[in-house]
Amino acid sequence: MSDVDVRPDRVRDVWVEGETMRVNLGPQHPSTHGVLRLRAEVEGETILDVEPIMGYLHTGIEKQAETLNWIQCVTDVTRADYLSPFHNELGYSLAVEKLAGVEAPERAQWIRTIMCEFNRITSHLVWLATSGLELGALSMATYAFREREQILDLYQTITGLRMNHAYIRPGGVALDLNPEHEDMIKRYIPVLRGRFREYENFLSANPIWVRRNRGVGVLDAKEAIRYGVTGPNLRASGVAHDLRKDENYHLPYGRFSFDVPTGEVGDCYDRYLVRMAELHESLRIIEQAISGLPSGPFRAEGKLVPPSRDRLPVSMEAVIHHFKLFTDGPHVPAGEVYVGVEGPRGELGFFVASDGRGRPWRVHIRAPSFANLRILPEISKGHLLADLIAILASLDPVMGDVDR
Amino acid sequence: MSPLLDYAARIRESFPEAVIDTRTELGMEVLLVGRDHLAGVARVLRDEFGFDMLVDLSVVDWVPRDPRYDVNYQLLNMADQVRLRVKVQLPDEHAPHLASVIDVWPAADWHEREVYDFFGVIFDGHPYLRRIFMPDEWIGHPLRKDYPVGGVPVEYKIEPAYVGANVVPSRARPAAGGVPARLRRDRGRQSHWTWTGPPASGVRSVAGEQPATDEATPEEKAADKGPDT
Repeated sequence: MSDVDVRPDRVRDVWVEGETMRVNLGPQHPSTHGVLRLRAEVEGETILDVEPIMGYLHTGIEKQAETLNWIQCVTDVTRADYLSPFHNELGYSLAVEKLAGVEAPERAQWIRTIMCEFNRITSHLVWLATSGLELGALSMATYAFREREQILDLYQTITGLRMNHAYIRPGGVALDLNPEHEDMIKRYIPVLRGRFREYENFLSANPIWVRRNRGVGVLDAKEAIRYGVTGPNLRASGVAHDLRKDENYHLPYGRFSFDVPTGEVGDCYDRYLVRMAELHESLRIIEQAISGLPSGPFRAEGKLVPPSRDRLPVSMEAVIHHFKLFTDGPHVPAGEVYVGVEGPRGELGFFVASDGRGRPWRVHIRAPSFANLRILPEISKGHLLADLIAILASLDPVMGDVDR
Repeated sequence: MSPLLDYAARIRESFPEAVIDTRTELGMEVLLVGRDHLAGVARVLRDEFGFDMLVDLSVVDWVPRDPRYDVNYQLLNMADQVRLRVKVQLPDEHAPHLASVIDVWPAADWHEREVYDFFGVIFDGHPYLRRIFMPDEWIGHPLRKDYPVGGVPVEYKIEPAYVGANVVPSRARPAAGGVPARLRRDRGRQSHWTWTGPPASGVRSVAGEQPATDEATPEEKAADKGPDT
């Protein structure tokens, strides 16, 4: 650099028309929701292109699943999208049940519905907290995490764990709901409803929030479908596509009345509105499910689940079954199945292949964050670099889900 | 006539040898398509049957079966909410080739990169077929059945087993199956890769290239006499 002339009269703006610069964001950055690296090409402050670079959180969940038996696998896949563990367990369990020809009893399905809807709420709360934090609404982060923490306490009471519960298993759920749990849930619903209204009062008309989000990152419906975007991101673009409304969906959502909120423009603000409305819809579903919770067994009889304790002293078959299950694991008939569930981020799919033996031959996770993140370069072109943070936050990717 | 046979009949009109088999597997309709006809069939399915979303793309390695790989495309017709699985089978090749469907469904972009990364399937026509999860210089395709679970040395440790392994960037030698070269004992020139980050404070803010050194520093040379000494 010794040949640069630094005399004051020679100093001038080094800006060159048409010159672009590459800016690196992440992988260690609080706003990248995990470890995501973005390589942005900018001209001044305008984004020309963004390349998401991932893999920093790749933990080989799919490879690991091939070494575990069909039941152990639940504890593996639940760690993929760590903000929606119940949905991971649900998708995998449904796939295994479909292969094995087992159906979970009605009570188990209703409990699954309740837990999954709570999970949708906790996942959306993390999105709300982090995107609030990123756009300057710092107190949003503390409020949303407060409510999330209380729901995690509820999870702990019911399942024993705050995260990665392995609660939904092939054949049903691991533990039954007690009357005390039901009371807790019933008492907590009105509290949450009030809090969600508070958040809306806090953000929806906040001039900074509106200016940072409205008209930013517009995704039109056609483009969203072409790129395989699902979930709230697709619904914000005006497509009322929700697997829970599908007639063949595996959980009894047909028994509950709820709406599928959709947006009109498909910008960051619409994605915000859709998720806020979904919080209320989830509460509606939980309210109906907890008041009409059917009685009965919480897991199916058969090969996939252990026999009940009281049958062990009296039935030799039960002992053999118990022994086989905990040593070798159940065997699942050969076949291939794809099951999609409506996770908080979109269609969470499980492609499971069995060769008829005690371990899955292949478990593939169709991660909604992975498909949704692909749209980031397309919708952030032409925006300012600061908007990239808003757009990324509004897409709500979870890197555990993307990288698996 | 069931919709599945309808698709098959219509596709056979355009591509007489494209559809090998049709079956319904656990409620999902499966269309087995010949390897060379995938791109054409994909276009017909999107334009004439409204399968406008490619939901998922995954591969199953059925070794030792022949053909070895199953490539499964999960399609969704958004208007009618109908699903279809298109399956293409690939033989046991070092680097099996398949046409990319990125022109038909742009969603295939990252899915195809993932399949390339994990199984070494080369998608012809993909504009940017690079590894997506594994490091660029990784050798081997981890989800193949002949790739071992575990046994990979920890990246940021200098271990005799792989210091000096002749690391060739994957782009130059794609789809080397089996045990990664760095685990084998045959070593070429003495060099090693240094990793800075991701969680290092010194990672440069302006990206562009990876700070990789081919030559060991004098201190490293002094510390590491090489595995054979």
